[in-house]
Amino acid sequence: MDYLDSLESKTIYIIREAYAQFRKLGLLWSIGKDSTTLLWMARKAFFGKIPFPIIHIDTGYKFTEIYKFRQMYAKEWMLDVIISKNFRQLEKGLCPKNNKFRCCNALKTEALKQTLLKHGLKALLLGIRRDEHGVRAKERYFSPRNQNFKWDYLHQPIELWDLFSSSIKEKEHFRIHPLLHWREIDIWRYIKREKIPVVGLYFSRFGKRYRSIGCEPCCKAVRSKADTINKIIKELSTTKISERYGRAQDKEDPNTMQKLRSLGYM
Amino acid sequence: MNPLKIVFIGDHDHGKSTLIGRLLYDTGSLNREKLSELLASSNKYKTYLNYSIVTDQLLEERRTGNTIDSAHIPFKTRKKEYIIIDTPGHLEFINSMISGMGYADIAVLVIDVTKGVTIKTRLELLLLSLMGIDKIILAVNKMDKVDFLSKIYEQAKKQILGQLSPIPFKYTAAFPISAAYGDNISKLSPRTKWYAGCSLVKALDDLKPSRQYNPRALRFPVQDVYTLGKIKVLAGIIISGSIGKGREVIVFPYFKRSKVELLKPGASAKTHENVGLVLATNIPAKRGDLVLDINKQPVFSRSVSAKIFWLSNKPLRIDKNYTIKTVFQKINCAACSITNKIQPNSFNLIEKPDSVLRNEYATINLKSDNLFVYETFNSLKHLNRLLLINNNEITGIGFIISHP
Repeated sequence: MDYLDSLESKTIYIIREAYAQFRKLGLLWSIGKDSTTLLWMARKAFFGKIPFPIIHIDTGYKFTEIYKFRQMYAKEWMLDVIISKNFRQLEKGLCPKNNKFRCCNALKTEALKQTLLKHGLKALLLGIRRDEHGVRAKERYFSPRNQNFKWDYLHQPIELWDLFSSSIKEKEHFRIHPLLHWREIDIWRYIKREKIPVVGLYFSRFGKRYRSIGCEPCCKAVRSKADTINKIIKELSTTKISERYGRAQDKEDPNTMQKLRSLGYM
Repeated sequence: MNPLKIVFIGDHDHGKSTLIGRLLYDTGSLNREKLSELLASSNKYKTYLNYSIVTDQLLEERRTGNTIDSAHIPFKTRKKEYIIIDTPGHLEFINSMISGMGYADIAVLVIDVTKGVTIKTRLELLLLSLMGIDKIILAVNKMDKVDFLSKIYEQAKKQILGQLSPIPFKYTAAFPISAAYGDNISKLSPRTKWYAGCSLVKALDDLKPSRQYNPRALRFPVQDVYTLGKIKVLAGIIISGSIGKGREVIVFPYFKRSKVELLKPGASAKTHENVGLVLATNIPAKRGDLVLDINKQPVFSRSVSAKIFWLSNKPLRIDKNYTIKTVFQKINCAACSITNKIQPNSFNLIEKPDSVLRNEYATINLKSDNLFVYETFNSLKHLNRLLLINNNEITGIGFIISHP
């Protein structure tokens, strides 16, 4: 079993464990490389047909490529997609221009709250990784959130030997992170090996590419000539620029990410 | 390809986070933002950079300078890839410490040369030995405070190893370092000419990975059962051995024989692979059942002895009901007697105590109305690890050792 196999094996085990412990499960698909990779492994875990809904949080500000990709693969992979949108705030004209923290919180976190309630979901699979951000480095595979979505990062449960023992209290939900142990470069190596389709935004056009994608107004491309997966892998083994360098919501103040996450952001 | 996972342990203020920050800085593993943040920081005496801010990420950690929860940080040298696991230094965060330690291959123990071994150091080593991490590198830190004197280093080393001797661990090497000033971390220091060893980074680079055992006895816990069309598929991960189509197996708790009729995704699979299997006979298998080797079986018994480390503020009491969770099962049980325990402060062994308190390490006997499943093969002993759970809280961790 090689290194990628061992990463994959652990991920599939966690996906199945999540479904075994919480039948009311959903998978959060941002259409980015990580959640698409997670989706790929979920299809493997259930031999082709994922037995729970796939949630796409649509802020209305996503890249056109993302919408196209969603449409195409939702059909091809027989996904049961739920679109999660905070219509009330969007109608009020909320946009990232004035306050990114407020925008992320309302259009992503609040939208997700509404969707969880509506569909009675008890747990969510998410494609976050430890090496993406210092605050995510402190996450657990099975991470409880209270009814207000709060992440109590100062009192996290023990997690040991992959004996995941989660018990859900009234009005709680669990965030499950099957890709926690993957690094950015591992994801790309796996995408290459498995030939997983990804959005074109990751590949260099006119000397720039996106390393991390989200909403169009808040994502900046980085300078790069990497227009193939091989070149991306090569670039990542030497770069000194962090993956989320182009993500505006991390920048507003040094602890925006922590504040967003403690309120239930991914 | 497979990064080596190193857990850094040691009491608070002995310099764990500083050493990690220094390692990342020296090996050029910091990204641009982190580097500029680091260069803008300096300690209150302005004599060196504040390396610990590299690892302290939470607001609360930066405010107090204390690590609160374990973090996993990838880094690489020219020779090797690593994942550093930074753990909290305060005993009150022992849950986070344990969650970090459990994933490690080796440990670096950081001890302040002027302070030596503390209660926390001993507890951490106890926990490490319980987790089966026996390769330990000793980093004797803050040598700058004792003018890099070899005599003081040798004394400290001897004292540390003496005080830790009751705990079974394999110590590999010791290093006289100063994390703040970078001595003997990525290169040898001119200030310790008396020291004959290599730098810490070189030692890590030269470490040989432990031998991997490939036990052959089949162990397949049923994780879930899926209905695909007309067939019932038992899904799960093979924790030991291998499976092929046509193989004869025994299914616990029914103790019935059956054959593997179909295997997904391929016709055969090895240890650590996730599979779905269909049995030839109609056994009402469910989550928690076991598919086992016909010849090499684990032990089934209604009572077992276990070594445990107690984590709850409520003491472990005899005859109280707990849930035990192992890789094989989750069943209700009770402690019928306590053989002995070690107290953390004195390391005294107490025979036949009537309870086990927080941070104590004990040998206990458990009984249940169900059958415990555990291994006697040396190569499979890691499957005997257990959690003791009460009211959904993990109150103890440990492993099954034998029949009482």
